[in-house]
Amino acid sequence: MPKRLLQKTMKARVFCNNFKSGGGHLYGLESINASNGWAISIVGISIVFSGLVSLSLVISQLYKVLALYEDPSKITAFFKSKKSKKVDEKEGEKIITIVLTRSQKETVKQFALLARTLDDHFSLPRLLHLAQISGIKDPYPSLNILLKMRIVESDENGFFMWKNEVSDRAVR
Amino acid sequence: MRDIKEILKKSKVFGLLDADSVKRLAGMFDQWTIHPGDILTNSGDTAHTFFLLGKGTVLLAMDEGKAIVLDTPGDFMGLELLSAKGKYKTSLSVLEEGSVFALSRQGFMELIREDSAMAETIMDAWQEYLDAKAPFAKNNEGPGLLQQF
Amino acid sequence: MDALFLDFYHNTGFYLWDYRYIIMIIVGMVFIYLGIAKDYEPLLLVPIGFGMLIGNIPIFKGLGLGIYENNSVLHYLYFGVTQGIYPPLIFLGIGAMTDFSTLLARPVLMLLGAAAQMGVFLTFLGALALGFEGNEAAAIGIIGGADGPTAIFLTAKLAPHLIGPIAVAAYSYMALVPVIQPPIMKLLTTRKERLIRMEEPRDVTKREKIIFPIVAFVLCCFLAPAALPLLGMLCFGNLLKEAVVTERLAVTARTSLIDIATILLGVTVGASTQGDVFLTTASVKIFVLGALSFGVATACGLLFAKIMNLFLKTKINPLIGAAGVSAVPDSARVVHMVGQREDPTNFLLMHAMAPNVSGVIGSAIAAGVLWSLMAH
Repeated sequence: MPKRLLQKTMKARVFCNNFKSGGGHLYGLESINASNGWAISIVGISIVFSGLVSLSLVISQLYKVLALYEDPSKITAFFKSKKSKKVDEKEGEKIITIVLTRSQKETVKQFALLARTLDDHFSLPRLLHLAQISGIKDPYPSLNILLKMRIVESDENGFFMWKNEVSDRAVR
Repeated sequence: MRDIKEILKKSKVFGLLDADSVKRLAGMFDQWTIHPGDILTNSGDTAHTFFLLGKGTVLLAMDEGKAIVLDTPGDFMGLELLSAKGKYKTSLSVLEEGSVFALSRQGFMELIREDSAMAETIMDAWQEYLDAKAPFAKNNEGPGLLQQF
Repeated sequence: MDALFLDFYHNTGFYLWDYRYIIMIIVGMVFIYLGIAKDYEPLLLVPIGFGMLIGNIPIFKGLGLGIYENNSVLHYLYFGVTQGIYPPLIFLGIGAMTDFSTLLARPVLMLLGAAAQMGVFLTFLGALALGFEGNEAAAIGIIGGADGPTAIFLTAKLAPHLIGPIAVAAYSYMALVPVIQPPIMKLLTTRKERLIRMEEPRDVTKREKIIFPIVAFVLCCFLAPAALPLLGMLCFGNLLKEAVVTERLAVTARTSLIDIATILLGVTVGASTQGDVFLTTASVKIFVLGALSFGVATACGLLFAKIMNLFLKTKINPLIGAAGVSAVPDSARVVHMVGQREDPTNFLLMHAMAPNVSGVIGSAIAAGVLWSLMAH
């Protein structure tokens, strides 16, 4: 810590205390000046910055030194740009062929009727809700079958579409 | 029923982690069996658990009627636990029997704090996953509170 | 017989009560409510809240019950606060639970942790302007560091009579980070800036993580030796964590030890808020300055990030500057959530952890600097 600043600070505090004990009380800029506040703040923030800047400089070089220590040939790699991570391609889409029982075919028809009451791009939770209140048997697994058979398909925007041709084929 | 380690290793998200991280992470999850009709989360409920799909199909319903069907082992659910008010913004209904692996909010927060590298890998992967799976998804939750000293 | 009953009655809280105790008991109950019902920092607010109840039961002076009575049990427990024992123990635990790899991957973000400490020194000036003495102003300024143990440590060293209000202000505002920070973030950044995606960081090796606490400790403490108790324990705790072979010690530090220290610190700080000592004009000023301090620290971090962007080739999202205050990991999560409101697929959490943990180091250095400058 700079000695001159410490002495200045101590003098300022003695002055300040003397002033206060005399019955007065400093406020505002007077108080800041009397306590040497500006200098303390500037020195303080400078020390904090110096500490963290020097630490950041050291650790920014640390891994290079370590790489060199572990394998001297790696030094050339420091200057190479990082490889960007490749996003995996979409997994192959799976279509499951399911042979429906008579009751399942009936359920698909009931779902188809409900889907007709909805927009072309409809909300799947809404369809499920309608199926529940309409009393369709096992609405959850039935909806799962519709999805697996691609009778109901996502429009990639959060809504779903009813595929009439697939549905007609399934219930035939 | 598939093992959590296998799910983690095969998942696009966790597959990037090293063997030690996978081992550590695996120990933090609890396995739950799910049945059609089970409701895992309700929109508006306190978000206390993060889920990883093991097997089966789950419907993730968002506000405004949007939805995603999750059927790939390793699919994520419940990342809203990061949100501040700690409320789920989505509802999860089980469509097909299977299993999920559950991680508590506390466990997830500890993971973020204590193993930033692993958490960062998960976050990056989650970002890519979200871009691919549900680019339309919105999260309007406000920030919330965590344990701090 | 009547005299005996009368004598006993005169020693009860019903006779000795004062409206200030009642106010503080209500405040304590609010803390407990917020902790339990709202899940706001329960590990801190519940012990502090209950401590407030303990400290504000009207008692007969001289029985050795009150925290400010030399021979009381509470006084001995409070010794850990007044002598600055608990904060380094908590720092040991924090070190043992914190992963610095995000910081190691992007050391430049450390500057944001330093920038946020400007709030500490600006509040110091504000406190001086409001008539506080230099040592008191320094203790008040450190509230802006958003680090409870650091605030308590520095206050214990410089202005022990202000521990109660400063600790309560520091922890209250830490709990309010999600309320205080977002409006400032939005005010000081444009939508375009909030949408900036951060560059993917490099991988950090185990060896780097082990060396970091040693280098950080030596370098920072050579520069600001007064930061030694806090930084020493923080770095030691981190070394225990990263060394792996000391995992058992690290586990103890980040679980039992930090919990014990937090319990004792929370309860005794709460108990130190005795209504007659706590409810003063100075406390009100401290609360106002504390709020300003948080706000200024957030603003400084954000603005510094924007300044950095003028020079950086790969721009950083200025929101992460707000995480330079050391409320770990909450301010990082606030950054994440504010960023996600603009772009739900932009994940800033781990990027914000870098300035966040550097804020811990920065606030410890700031405390050390203020201590060494004001203690003489």
